[in-house]
Amino acid sequence: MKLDDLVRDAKKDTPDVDWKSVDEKLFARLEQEPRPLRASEDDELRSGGRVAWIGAAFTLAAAAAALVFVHPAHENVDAREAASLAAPLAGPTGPLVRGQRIDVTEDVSYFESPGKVRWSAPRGSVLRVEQSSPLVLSLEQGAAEAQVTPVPSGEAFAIDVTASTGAVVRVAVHGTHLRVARAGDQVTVDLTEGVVSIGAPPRRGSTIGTLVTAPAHVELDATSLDSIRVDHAPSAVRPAERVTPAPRDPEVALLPQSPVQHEVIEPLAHETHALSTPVRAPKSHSDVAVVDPPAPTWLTTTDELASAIAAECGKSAASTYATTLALHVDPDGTVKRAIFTPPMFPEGQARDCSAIVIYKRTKLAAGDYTVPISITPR
Amino acid sequence: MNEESDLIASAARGDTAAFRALYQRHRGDVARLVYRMLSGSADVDDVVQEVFVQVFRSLKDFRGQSKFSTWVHRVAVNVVLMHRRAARSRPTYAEELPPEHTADEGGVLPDEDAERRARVRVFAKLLDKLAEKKRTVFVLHEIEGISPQEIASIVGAPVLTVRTRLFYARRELEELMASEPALAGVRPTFARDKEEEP
Repeated sequence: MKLDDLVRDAKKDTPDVDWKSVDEKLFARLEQEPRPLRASEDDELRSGGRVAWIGAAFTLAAAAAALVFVHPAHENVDAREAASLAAPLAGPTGPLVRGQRIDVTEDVSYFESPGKVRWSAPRGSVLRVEQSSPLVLSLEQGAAEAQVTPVPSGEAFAIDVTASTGAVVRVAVHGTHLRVARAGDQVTVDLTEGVVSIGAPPRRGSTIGTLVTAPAHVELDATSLDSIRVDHAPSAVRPAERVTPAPRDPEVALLPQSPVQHEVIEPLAHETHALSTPVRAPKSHSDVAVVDPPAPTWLTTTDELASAIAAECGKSAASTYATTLALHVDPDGTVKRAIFTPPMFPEGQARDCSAIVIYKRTKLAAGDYTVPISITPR
Repeated sequence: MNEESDLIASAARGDTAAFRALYQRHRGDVARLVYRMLSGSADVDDVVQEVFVQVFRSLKDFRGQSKFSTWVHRVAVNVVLMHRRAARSRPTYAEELPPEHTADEGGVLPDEDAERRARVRVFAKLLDKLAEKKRTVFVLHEIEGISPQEIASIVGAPVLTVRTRLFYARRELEELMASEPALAGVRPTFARDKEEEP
């Protein structure tokens, strides 16, 4: 026997790793790790004032664009011209400005900063706009749910909760779908996508706190960050809800998006309207600041659901994968429980492809379902 | 910017989802390397975990001057070496042998496979006798199939040094094999290797 023969044998010898255990331990440890700080963020910290000023200018520019939508007489306002206006951010019921208090009196109120964040708050919620860029809301009462577009660096959005003692807890978002609710000093965060950092608000830069990855249900007492408890069990996480009103007018839903939305930093547009009120079609593309996305194609059968998951997850699948989805749908049509057996492959989980299909596109009758799914790489 | 670059950039900013994707891509390679560098020790799971914690912490320092996989290998090699040094300083009560299947544990293995496993265990013991630097380059090149140029980047040594270590690692291993009763019949071939080396 030669050395090469032994090397050949050694090559065939592969480790038997308990990946489930390694994954759990690793990501539990990473949640305790301070968030890495890049050089660019150091720069941002050093030039925080300048960055904030530029951000505010862009926000004001975008704000004026929103005014175009709300007040058609102002259409064709140039973004640079808008930036010079000390105009507040816009909304149909009046502009939103830093420090403004928002009392939600509709069933649900929807808000959008195009390309950045869409958020909603249920009736009875009280919020205040703490900062506009990035948007920081102070949740004084009730709840807020947000879908946040990831940003290249820093934080895209944050919700502050001020405890009765004056202590402030910040839930800082890098790109995610989350819901923050409070009852007195008790705060709950339900994270269905992405990652958030929960800690004390920094004077500048990013929030250094407990890094929480989805899925997660977090409970804490706002008076003490040490009270934070994180449950990653999917069943513990409140299912995501819409953060945009359900489109009622198909004509509006099919309108093309305004090119402005993709070219400049857009405003915080404030849409407060009852669900029964259809959004009016704008007169021309130029005055479109906020348009609802196309209505989702609802999946009303288990076959459609299986096909949709296979299509979405097939984009990230490396090989053919078979699993079975156990689904429980409440009488109101809400998907309350979704369990894959065996679990969805990691890339599928990372892309949240199945979660979006299950929680945002499925309309099944109440009951329990077992859905076999076969995923083929695309 | 390709997909992996995007993932690295996102992960470096603390995006755990992006880091998870990177981890999924590279964990298999890392586990294999760790397993082989630890000569099949039972600590593989813990060391793999430690490697990725270090990767997470150090991502901000990754400048893209080498392939990401090469950089991850470098981190893995360093973590393994640290682990081995720490292990050496700990008292041991028995020789740590790699886990092996027996008839009692998992049924009867085919004879050929059992023999192969036995050979691998003995070979792992021999590898352990090599000096760290020689063992590292031997595992990386001969077993993992990584080029000397890339190994040079991983271990931070000139390519010529890597080749020299490889040569002496092979020669020492063959000498050790010749004196190992469990590998009776091994015929030294380093004379041939010597001729091939520059």
